[in-house]
Amino acid sequence: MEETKRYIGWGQFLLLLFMCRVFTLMTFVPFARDGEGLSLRLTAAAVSTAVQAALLIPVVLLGRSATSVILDKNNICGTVAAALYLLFFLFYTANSLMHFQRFLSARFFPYADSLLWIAVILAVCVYCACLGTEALGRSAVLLFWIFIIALAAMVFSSAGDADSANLYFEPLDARGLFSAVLDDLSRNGEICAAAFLAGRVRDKLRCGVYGFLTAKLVLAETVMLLIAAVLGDFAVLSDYPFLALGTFGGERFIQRSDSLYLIVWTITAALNAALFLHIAAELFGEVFPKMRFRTAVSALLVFGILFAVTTARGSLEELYSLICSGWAVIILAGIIPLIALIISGKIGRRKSPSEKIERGESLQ
Amino acid sequence: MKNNDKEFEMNPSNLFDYKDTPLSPSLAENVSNIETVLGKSSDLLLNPFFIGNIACNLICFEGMISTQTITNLILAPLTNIDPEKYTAADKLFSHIHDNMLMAIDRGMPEKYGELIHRLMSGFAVLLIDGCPKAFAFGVQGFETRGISEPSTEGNIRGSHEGFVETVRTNMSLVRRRIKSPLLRFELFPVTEVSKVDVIIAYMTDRVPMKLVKKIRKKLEELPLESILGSGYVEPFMENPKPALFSGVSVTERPDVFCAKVLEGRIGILIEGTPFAIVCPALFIENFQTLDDYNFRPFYAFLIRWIRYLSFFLAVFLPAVYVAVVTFHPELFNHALLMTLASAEQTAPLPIAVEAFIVLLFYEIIREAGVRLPKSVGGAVSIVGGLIIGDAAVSAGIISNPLLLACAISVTASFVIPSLNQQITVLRFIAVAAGSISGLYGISLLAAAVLVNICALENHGAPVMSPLSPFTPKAMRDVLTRIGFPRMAKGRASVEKLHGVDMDRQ
Amino acid sequence: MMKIKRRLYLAAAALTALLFTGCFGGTEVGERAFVQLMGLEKEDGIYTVSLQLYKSESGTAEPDVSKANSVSVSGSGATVQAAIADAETEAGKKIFLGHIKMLIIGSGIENPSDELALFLDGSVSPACPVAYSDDPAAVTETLLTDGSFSAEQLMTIMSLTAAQGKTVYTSAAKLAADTGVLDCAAALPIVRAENKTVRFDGLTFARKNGTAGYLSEEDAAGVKLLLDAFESGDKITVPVTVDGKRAAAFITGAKTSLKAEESEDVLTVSAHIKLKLYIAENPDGISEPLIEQAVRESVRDSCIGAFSSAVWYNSCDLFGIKKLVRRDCPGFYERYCENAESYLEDSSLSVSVSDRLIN
Repeated sequence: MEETKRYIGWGQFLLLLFMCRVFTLMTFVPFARDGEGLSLRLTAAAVSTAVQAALLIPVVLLGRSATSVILDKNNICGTVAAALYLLFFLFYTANSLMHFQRFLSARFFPYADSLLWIAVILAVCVYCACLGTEALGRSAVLLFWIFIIALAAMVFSSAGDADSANLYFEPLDARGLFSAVLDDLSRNGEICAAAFLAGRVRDKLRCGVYGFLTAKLVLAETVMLLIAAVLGDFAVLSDYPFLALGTFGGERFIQRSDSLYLIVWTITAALNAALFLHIAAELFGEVFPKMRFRTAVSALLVFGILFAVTTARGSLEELYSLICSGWAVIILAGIIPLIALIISGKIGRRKSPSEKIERGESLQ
Repeated sequence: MKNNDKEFEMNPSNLFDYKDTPLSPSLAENVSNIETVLGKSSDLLLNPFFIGNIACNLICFEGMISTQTITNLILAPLTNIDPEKYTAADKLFSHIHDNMLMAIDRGMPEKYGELIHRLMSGFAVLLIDGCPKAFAFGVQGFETRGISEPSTEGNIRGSHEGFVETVRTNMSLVRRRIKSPLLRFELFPVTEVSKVDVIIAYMTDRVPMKLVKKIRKKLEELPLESILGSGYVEPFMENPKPALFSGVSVTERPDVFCAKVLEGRIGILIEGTPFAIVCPALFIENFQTLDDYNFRPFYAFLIRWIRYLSFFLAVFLPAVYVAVVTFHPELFNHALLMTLASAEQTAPLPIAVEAFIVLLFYEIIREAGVRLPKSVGGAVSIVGGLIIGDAAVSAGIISNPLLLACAISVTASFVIPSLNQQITVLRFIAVAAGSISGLYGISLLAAAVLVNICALENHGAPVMSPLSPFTPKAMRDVLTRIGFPRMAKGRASVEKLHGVDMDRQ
Repeated sequence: MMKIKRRLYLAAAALTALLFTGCFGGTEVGERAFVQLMGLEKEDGIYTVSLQLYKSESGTAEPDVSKANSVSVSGSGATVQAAIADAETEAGKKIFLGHIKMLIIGSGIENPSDELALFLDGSVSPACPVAYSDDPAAVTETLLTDGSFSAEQLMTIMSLTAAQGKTVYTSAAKLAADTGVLDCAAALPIVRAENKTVRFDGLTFARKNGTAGYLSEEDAAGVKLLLDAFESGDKITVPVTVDGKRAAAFITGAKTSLKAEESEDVLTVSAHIKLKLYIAENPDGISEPLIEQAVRESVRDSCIGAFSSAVWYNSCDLFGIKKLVRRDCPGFYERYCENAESYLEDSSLSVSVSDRLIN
């Protein structure tokens, strides 16, 4: 019996991707690196979001048929695309977990064996990934509220230490802006996931996509401004300024609240990795249809990548950086869907009623 | 009244396919077949008599019928029949059928299967020689427990009536509360051996018939020999995938049952157990009680949030304590940490082991308290309190702060009795996770549990509704308890929740 | 068969996980040594840390003379971490720095932002207060015996002293940021241990190349106000004399805004201070406007005293002037950075004080 396809709402789609972005924001923010100041960071985030909005136009136009068109089984290009996406998601998951592991080792568990520790979170992620997109989408909704409460607590406890003198907007440098935008894009790999989740969105995909981009831009800008205002120049010294923001809350009945935020970050990390493992498992199904235990295989491969990178290093790190770069995001999130859209002939002609239904649009 | 002939031996080779075999016009053959099927059961009462020259036999099971009722309603009218007027069996049959009521609940079984089922349900069956049909009169008089306060769901201002083991009585308790022609009951026997009566209750304007048929089919196809409790049926009403939490709810209260049926759910009453099943159920309902709707909204709001907090305390407090003390002592403020450090200094065991011991002791005491007779139940609490509360701490085996954390957790679990099983198991797992890897392990456990609950659906209704999928209007009764004037404006229904598709399983 | 196998795998995984208990580096609370005070000094390239530890064997959480629940240990090493490891050996337990009440640096600590990297990895809270002492070991070794202080009491004294405007509170993060990234200065309270007591005695200035300079308690109020470090609950007592008559006022609230202006290559710092006043004593019946005026003048003098001592005489950018220039005079910023000391020495300060009397 054919399994009924399960859909998620556009709100769940938005929040699922948003929580992935929250995770990267927490672990990836070196506030000012190589002379990049506040102006550059803020502008780069805005420009990057605009670029992402443009990149996702083909996915929005393809609508619910995005996945089937991009990974067209009747076409060798579809299989190649599936393989590329699979490679990206495996490496991106490994990248996310590696950064999270470094974050935890630096802050909370300096004596823990990193690979064992990744194995534990991967086991949980495999379980979560097996439960499907709907479960992950619903979990994202709940996690979003938990995150909002944690963020509000962080903001209220540290807002008193904000000083406008810390907000210094240096003149922009055009050359620096380009590399900063690429850098920001490399940390927004979740937009590649949009192409796959688009096929599972019940309706209003456009609202979901652009709502997600708007929400994450607002979050990124707000957090960067807050970090700058509260921490000031200390943000430059800190490896994890977002976490340091929580530490500045001051003594109340809790001495230091950064450990409490660990709960939110860990659950977010698990959800983030579970989503990409789930997508990787589905891509395995496209490339190797007869494969069983696809999610577990994906997890094992991710573990293997991490093991190789942490022990072998050298040229593997170059490959790693290439696959997880901003260019890879541009190709996978924008160029491949655009090519698929053109090849499918869907661009430039009126949509048929069945296509409208497929895309969840009104027939009027 | 005579008992059956004890020369008959009961073995499967004597059995014929009696269920669908029609009754014979011959009384002797019918009686013989009934004896064959039922064997030499000591409680089978056969009472042959004559009305005129027509042989009849009144059959029933001892203890199942009311002697007074059968005497007044069956025996007296039968003996008062004028034998001169009804000399043919069919005329006698028609007279009894058309002119004599004799019982409110009456049937005319034509096959042995139905006849025997009726007998076992407390009916008295009248067989007339020459008629291939029988009369079955509902004169049940078996001893039942009276309607009393539910033992598992206490309340303050609500009704103190609870369901009983008799399904028909339960049906009346529901009907008294919903006097609507749209309320339907479907009664049918289930299971191969014990033919337990179950009733499906639903509102026809609120539940899709497809769902009713689906549930009916599931019940009729139950691969069980008998149902001795609602727990036998629950797994078949739930999602087949393994899950920690349940997508069905169980209640002993008719008012709660009615409230859920009015929200568009299907209720299942089962003969022999006072616990009714309602599906689909939402996770958030575990935190709602009927008292919430009897109290003022602001108080109900406070109590409800106390329950939410209690859930987290019940599951995570011992684990968080173990995790924070072992891995994250910077979380505590200075004075608290020094107090804990000085308390733990003298404890000889690792804190995780202490936590396991305390929680295990509690479970032993709780189980003992449930199984012990009430007369010695008090002794358990004294012994438990002395052993754990005093002696263990005085001996320095267990530290006071840990004991306090476990006690708070255990007490908090009493707030949500419907989740007691899950809380107990999760508590132990959380302590293990916290002792292995601190808040990180607890967070991963929380992530797994969260996704597990979010994945759960029951008959098309996501169990985490209305939290996720999010339904703003329904959240009024989750985050707060809105007042009745506002609640009355819109009818609450499971189908109106986002993501609910009751046609889907 | 598959289901049984699956269950076996799950059970094996669970057992394996249990075997790894301890692989995440957990330490029982009784096996930790909780550091309350940490002194750090450097001499001839060797770091010496002196730690005041809470003794959990004492069975009491509160400072108690009879129970003697603090102990002092020290260690030396080529790096700060090596010195802490050495102290750990003496303590016999794993050192836990997460609850440090105060960090006391001594002479020889020339580059606080590099040498105090402990708080950057989260082991010490970035909000941990830092003080200066000529002899940090003496401060940490002043234990809870007759007439002496524990870390808790030291913190209480510091809080009270700061609330009265006689010292300022500087966190480790602020110290690192001001002396490291900004290449400015930070004010550190000076703490001295003598005759089994500990007291705060003015302020010193910490810069990238060490600590130098002194500011008295009287001028500390000016530092507090110019740094806009007035917090809720603080109360600065300002005694005034008007025509030979005495009175006293409390400053119960203050808000300072600083601005930098550049005109003809001269840097001017403008400070506008809004005060909330409360007249505490007026035995001689001086009129309120006169008292207010006297308080304003006193505050102005204190600010000018603090500014002159720090900025003019010691070329210490204590008040974040570099940040102000960066924000308010961006065109001037690069020239300022090239010749900061000269600009600071030649700078001027304009202080305007407004007040609001609370009755």
